[in-house]
Amino acid sequence: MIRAPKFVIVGCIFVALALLFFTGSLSLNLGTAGRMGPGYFPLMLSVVLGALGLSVLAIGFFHDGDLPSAPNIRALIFVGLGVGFFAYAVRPLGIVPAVAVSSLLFSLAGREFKLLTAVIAALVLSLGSWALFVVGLSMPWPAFGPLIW
Amino acid sequence: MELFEHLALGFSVALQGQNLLYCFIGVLLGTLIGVLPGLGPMATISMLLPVTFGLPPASALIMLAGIFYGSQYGGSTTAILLNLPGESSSVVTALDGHQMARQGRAGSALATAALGSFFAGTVGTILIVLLAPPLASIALKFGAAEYFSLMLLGLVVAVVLASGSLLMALAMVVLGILLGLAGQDMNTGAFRLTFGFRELANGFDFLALSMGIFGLGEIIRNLESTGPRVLTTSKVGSLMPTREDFKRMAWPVLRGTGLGSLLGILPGGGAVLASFVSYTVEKKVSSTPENFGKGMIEGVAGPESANNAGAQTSFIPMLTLGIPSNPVMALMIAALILQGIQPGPNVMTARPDLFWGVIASMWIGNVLLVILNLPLIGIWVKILTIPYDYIMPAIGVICCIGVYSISNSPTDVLMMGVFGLAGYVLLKLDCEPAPLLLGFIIGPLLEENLRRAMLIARGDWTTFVTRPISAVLLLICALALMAVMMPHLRNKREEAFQE
Repeated sequence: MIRAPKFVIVGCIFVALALLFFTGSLSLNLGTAGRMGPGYFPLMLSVVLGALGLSVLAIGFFHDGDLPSAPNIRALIFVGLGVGFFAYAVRPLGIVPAVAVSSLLFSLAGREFKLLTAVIAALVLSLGSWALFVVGLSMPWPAFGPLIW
Repeated sequence: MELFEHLALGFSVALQGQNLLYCFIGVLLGTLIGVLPGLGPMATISMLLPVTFGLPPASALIMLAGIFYGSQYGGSTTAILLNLPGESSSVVTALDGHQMARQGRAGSALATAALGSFFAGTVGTILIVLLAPPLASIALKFGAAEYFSLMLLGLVVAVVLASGSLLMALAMVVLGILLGLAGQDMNTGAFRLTFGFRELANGFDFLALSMGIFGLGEIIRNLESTGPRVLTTSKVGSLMPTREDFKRMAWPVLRGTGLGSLLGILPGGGAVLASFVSYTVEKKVSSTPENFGKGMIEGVAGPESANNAGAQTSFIPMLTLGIPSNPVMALMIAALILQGIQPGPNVMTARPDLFWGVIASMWIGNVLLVILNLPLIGIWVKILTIPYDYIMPAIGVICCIGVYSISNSPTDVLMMGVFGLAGYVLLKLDCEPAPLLLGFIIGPLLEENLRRAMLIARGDWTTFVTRPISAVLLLICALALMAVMMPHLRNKREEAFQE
């Protein structure tokens, strides 16, 4: 029976990653202990990670532990969207619109969304980062990208 | 005296207009961020690292160091005024410091913290000056095997002293090393662990990793717990401690400085542990232990001195051996590497201006902090009233722009996003992410030395135990691990972290 769900989840994650790295290292040249190839050390480590993962997993069955608290899905989604938008928009749209929209998305991640606050933050941040990075530190970023200009 | 020549060189570098300015900016930004709850030195240094790229190495390191100890000061301000520790190292300061504030003695508490920290910072700096040269000359004699064992020891001790499950922390270190190895192999040029992604040819970007986990991960987590912040006292009261206060804080400051200096040098130690231990010690030696938690000045003076001394001396292994004793120092090492400087005992002889300049700037930074902090407390209090609604999007935007600015690569930004989400999931599952970063940065160095040692020994694994220094280091490693596994000590460790 699962007694400490957190440990079981973490253990499974570690074991899965260990398997991933294990197969990844196997395809590399291993070499010998005296002349280690690129795969030697990663292979060793992935075995260690697997063993540690299994031990963590085992603890989950023999010791009591609490459930993980509910994740903040809203924050996860909007922070993810904000970062994703910036990554895809910064080149075509330029730094000012990319920062403004990302900032709005980050504001949406909060528990209470206040439109006025969010808009002020977006304006200040987009103009501020343009002034600081493009004008001040002369980064080679256009304020508005080819899609707008 | 060679010592004074070194110091003179250091001060001549640190007192150059530009470096003085960056030291000032560093401590100011550090204090500012330290004041904001929920943003630690890790997030701050990661976010500001790109800004230092364009600076000469000495200025960059001076500014980063300033951010680090500035945030230690700032953290105690919020701990005392709001009962909200801005840093994990000022958690204990909140216990008695906030009680003093409620009794209208916030000024004395703040001044005690500042003066204690200043004293500790001065002693810490002197210790670095005294200890760095002999340590570096020992380290120069180290071979690959010794280096490997030393790094292993650093990682193990860092894990042993971390909070939470030992197994999880160990697994996080190993995972960090694996992530650090991804990308092109230095010796053979083979691409490894890239899983077919061309973007990973140069490995994971470490700033994407640290900003993702410590910047984004923390904002997502903070969104769960930000209750309304109430300023308990708008009146700070007299800043000057009374004669009685001075008498009571003298010994705790001395003890805290001693403890902090010692724990800071140890791998994995540093500020957090130092402040906890100091508080426990002050409680033990006090004639009225029952008054702790009710506004004892000793409970502020000791831990505050300890955390600053620890913060200062944790630079010693980083500067002399090139080995980080905690995640913040791991970031410093990464900064050095980005500046094209190979960290290690050679830095002191190859770049004496950088080495001594950084050390001298630490003391100057501490002076600046005392001058800066006490008169500016009013402003820090104001900053605390900025709603999180403004701070949160700002952190997100700074993280995005910061990562993008490194190599104008949108892929790096996406990678940071993935690490941010992963970091949040790990935090949710009680997996401390700090060991992962430590492993990530040490990983390549560890492998390099392992390979070299084994090449020299012609594949004979016993080389690590037949070379005496390496054997001793590995023995300490094993003892540290066994010590945590013993049930009696494990309970003690858990107790210590719960307090």
